[in-house]
Amino acid sequence: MTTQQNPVVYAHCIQYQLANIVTPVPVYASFNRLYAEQPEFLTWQLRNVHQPVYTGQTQSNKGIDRPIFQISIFAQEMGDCFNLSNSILQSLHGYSGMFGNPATDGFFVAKADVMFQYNSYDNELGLHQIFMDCTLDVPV
Amino acid sequence: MGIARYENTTINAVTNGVDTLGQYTTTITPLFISRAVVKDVRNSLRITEKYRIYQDLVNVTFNYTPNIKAIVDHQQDYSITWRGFDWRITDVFESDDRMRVTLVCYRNDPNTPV
Repeated sequence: MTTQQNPVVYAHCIQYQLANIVTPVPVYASFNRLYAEQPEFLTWQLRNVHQPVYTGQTQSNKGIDRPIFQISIFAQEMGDCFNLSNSILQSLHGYSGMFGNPATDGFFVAKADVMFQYNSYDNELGLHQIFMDCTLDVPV
Repeated sequence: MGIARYENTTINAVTNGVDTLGQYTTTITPLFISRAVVKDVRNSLRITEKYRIYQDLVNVTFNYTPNIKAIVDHQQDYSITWRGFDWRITDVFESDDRMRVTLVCYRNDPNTPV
């Protein structure tokens, strides 16, 4: 028997957690208007918020939520990009415990699983990029 | 010879931040007030397929001071309040004798459907 977590809670907690891992590097949701001035920064996007639904008439008869958020790392120097990805891997991959701000809407994750997807370079922005996916197992 | 319009302006600091959801935020804090020569007040209208966009441009000229030099160096960190509106700086012209600085400021009115 589980209830669905409000996605805005995920958004708060992802922002809090990432900002704490890479501080003082700025973290933004989706887009950074100051990309031309900041030598390194992160953006994130949330997707696949989904609890498997089991058969039955009870709406709360669902499994655990496994939301995924993509982390996009941008940096002018390629080495900074890889070092930021390392900070995230070391801190988040395999993490279990409080996710987000415990004083407000932080919640418990049974497991965080980080997948380093690929690195790239955006010629228009002039920034190196690394894309990572982090899957959370959220027992509600 | 034209008439010089000295008008009251407030120079603001523009601070960018992030809220708890990771959204980009802009905060404007008044820094100091000054009198500037205002000229070439120009409002323009651009009509696209769906919207009318009003863009206002104005030239304001200040005496060259350390504060104004800071604006010249980092124009994105400052805005100017004039006639009750918030104006952002697009172009900066420093006179060669370093006596004056002219800022070209712009402001967008909200988009209006055609």
